[in-house]
Amino acid sequence: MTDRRTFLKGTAAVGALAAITDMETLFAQEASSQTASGIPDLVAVRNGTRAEMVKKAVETLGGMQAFVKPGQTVVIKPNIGWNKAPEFGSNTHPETVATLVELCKQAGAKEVKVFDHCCHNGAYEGSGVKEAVEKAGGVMVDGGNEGQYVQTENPKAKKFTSAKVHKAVLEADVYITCPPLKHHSGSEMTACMKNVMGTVWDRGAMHKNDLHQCIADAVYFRKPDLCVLDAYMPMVRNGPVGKDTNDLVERKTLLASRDIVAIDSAGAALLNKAGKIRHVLLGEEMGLGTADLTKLNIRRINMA
Amino acid sequence: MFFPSVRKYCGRTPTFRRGRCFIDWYVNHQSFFVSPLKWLRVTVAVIFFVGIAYAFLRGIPAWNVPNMTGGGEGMEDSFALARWQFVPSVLGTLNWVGVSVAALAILLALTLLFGRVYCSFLCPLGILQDIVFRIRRWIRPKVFLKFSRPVPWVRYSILAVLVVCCVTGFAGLTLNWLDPYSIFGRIMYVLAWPAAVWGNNLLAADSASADLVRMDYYPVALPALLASAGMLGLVVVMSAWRGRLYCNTVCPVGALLGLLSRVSLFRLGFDPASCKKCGKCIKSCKAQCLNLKEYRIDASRCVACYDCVRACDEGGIRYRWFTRARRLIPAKKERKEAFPRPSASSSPVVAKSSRREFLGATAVGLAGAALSGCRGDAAQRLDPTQCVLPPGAGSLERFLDVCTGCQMCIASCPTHVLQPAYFQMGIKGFMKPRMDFSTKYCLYDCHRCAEVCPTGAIRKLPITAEKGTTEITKDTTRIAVAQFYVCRCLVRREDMDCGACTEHCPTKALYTVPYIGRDGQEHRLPKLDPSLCIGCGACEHACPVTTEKPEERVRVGPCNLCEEKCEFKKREAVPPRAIVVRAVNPQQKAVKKFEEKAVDPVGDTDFPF
Repeated sequence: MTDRRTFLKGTAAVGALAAITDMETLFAQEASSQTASGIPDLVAVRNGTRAEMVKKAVETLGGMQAFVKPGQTVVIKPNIGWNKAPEFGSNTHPETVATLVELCKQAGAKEVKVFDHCCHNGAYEGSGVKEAVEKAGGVMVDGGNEGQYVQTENPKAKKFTSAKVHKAVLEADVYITCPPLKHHSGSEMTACMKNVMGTVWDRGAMHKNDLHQCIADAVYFRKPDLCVLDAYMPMVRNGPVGKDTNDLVERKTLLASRDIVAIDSAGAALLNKAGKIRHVLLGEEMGLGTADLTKLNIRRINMA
Repeated sequence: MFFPSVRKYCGRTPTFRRGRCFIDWYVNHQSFFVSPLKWLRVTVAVIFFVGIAYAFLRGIPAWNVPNMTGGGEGMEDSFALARWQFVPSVLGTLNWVGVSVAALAILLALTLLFGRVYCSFLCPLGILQDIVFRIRRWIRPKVFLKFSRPVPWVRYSILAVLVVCCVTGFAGLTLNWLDPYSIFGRIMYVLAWPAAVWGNNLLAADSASADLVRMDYYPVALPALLASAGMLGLVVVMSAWRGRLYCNTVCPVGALLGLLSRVSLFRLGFDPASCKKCGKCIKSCKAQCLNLKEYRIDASRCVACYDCVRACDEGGIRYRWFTRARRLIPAKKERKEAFPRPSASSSPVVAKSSRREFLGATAVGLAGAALSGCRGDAAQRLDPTQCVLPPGAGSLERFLDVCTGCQMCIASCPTHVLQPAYFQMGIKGFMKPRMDFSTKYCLYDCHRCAEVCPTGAIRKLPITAEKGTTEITKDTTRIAVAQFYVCRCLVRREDMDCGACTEHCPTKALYTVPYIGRDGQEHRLPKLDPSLCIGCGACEHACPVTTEKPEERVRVGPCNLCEEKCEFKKREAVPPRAIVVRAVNPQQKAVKKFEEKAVDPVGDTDFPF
């Protein structure tokens, strides 16, 4: 009995939280559109190191203190699906994740948790993310334990209406997603929206039940507060794992935004697939954000 | 309490007077110091027992918690100790593994020099029996074993049966059941592993830390469980009852090394001049091989534990050059009537001929085991989806002959795709590793199973093939091949996007092509290039198609979507998944695709938006 009650309470709290975050994003968007010179909707940085570009992009969005208040807990969701070394570009580069952890810590975060629901065993270690995150003061959280996932309802979803979502995402005050930009054989592209799949326990159900719709639906479990898309070495074919470094191109770009649809739309443009990725279009349809980049205030920075 | 046997065998009453503690302690324990041999034996035995046992449980995540066990620091390579086991070293030598050749040479040399040191120093099953027997001594210290006349025909029959099996190509059916190391391995994996997993999960139940994680337990079949539990029970009961009885009646390695140690150059022997016939040595002996009456030590049963050397206050039992050891023995009394049937150890002439026979037969047998690789047509009757072997295993026939089912690869497999077979690979394949793609799949750049394999049954291959070389590598070894049933694929059946199989395919034998669905929209349909497939099983594992619910057991018609022949064509049964992986026997070489450097799809544009 108690279990059900606490669970219901928890779900309600999550719903409320999601609602609040929605409101905030709404206000932020309004504010930005009112003052064109203010905080942009999307930041695109080029020609710096990963750490420099992350810092620059977050600074342009108002600094990490705009997202993280002192004493809050933060969860960062990189892509650590595969047991592949950083140079293969299958996972988020450790440098990107570590820089975000550092920024959160500097902004006064109480705890910075990092996790992914990996496909390969030993991916935390093999990707180099674990070492980098722990060095930067973050905590790696287990994503392979079903007990860490909580059954959550998703009333705004069309098809993926109920699933087990990782506790860390539901409980954290601030939720940051930071995937690398990759080609994907099934969903055409892996970026911020596709990265949400790693917060869900049963991914087979998403594959089974119209992948693109489920990706868009899964974002509604909790919308990320900050999206960072690492396109330093995007994988342009053979994704999402890639065969070797020949599958990568050097683009030296990093995107950051509060709007998960906008950042994925820009990511698709980097892969020359602008407007062709179905889950991004579905995301806009469902009101998750703006896919039309012409409507957005984009700040383009070349650091070279 | 810590050294109860010392008090007993020293025969001195401990005194505890102020100021003389160390001297008293030394007097009480001096037999430890006068017998460095026993120290050496115990030290080496502990290293081997702990090392090998740890190697089997290394896959338990709780070891990785740094402040818990030190993360197993310095014990990463303890699996290498298994190469020094006798049967694995023989099989490794037949497979031309360098370490095994050296190990076998050293083991044989040690036996020919000092007797059955393997049995007490290196054999984990023997050490396990020593532990059991030590515990029994603590429980009932006053009940000790006496010298017993040998009953050699039992062990020599078992050895002979094994030799015959090896000659006739049934090594894969008998050797795995009788090799003491493999028996120990199965005890560890089948019995200790679940206990360790359970303990791990108890600790990790509520933990969110990435260091202490839960792990799944994949249950082994009940007969396998019973077989291992039965073997453990047999060994424990026999050792609690009669010390090293198992080693001296059942174990063929013990029998073979016993034959060799009868001609060893240095032998343990009594010194009748200093012997007071106190009998402490007999009480300490767990092999029941000390004949104090005749001052003889049955070298074929002595496991070289040196307990008697330590027990003797007079230093009367020592290693001596074999001629000297023989000379010390007083002339034997005639007592034929007591034992009318001449046993192998009491009549040297018979022993000599039988020894020669056995050595010859064993050599022939082992050579036969090597040559008997192509025997049997078992592979044709097996379900190919259920008997996929680890890469480097060669053919099913060869593998089942040289694998002893020690479970080292299964316990070390990082994805646990390797599972012990029950009857999926025939009777010969009982408890030998096979790939279970419902558990997981074989990692592309991992060859852990071959690294740890002590027998060389799984051949170690280089991981990656470089461009332009024809070398056989792990990533070009085809262990199985996938077949794509488009009629079952979700993309074709329900006009939606999935791509789970192509996502996981490491060689890109599976890729997606555009496909216009009945809804008029473009989707990505998987396509398979079998020449690139290595059969890792990732696609089958990832495929979300199941047959659990009735509505899932459909396929799209008409049934002429595929070009290939399909065994499901005219049947009610449907393929269990849209992609099914089947073993190829023998394993083949696959093509590896090398691609040029990718081109940036948006060229030099700074920001294409």
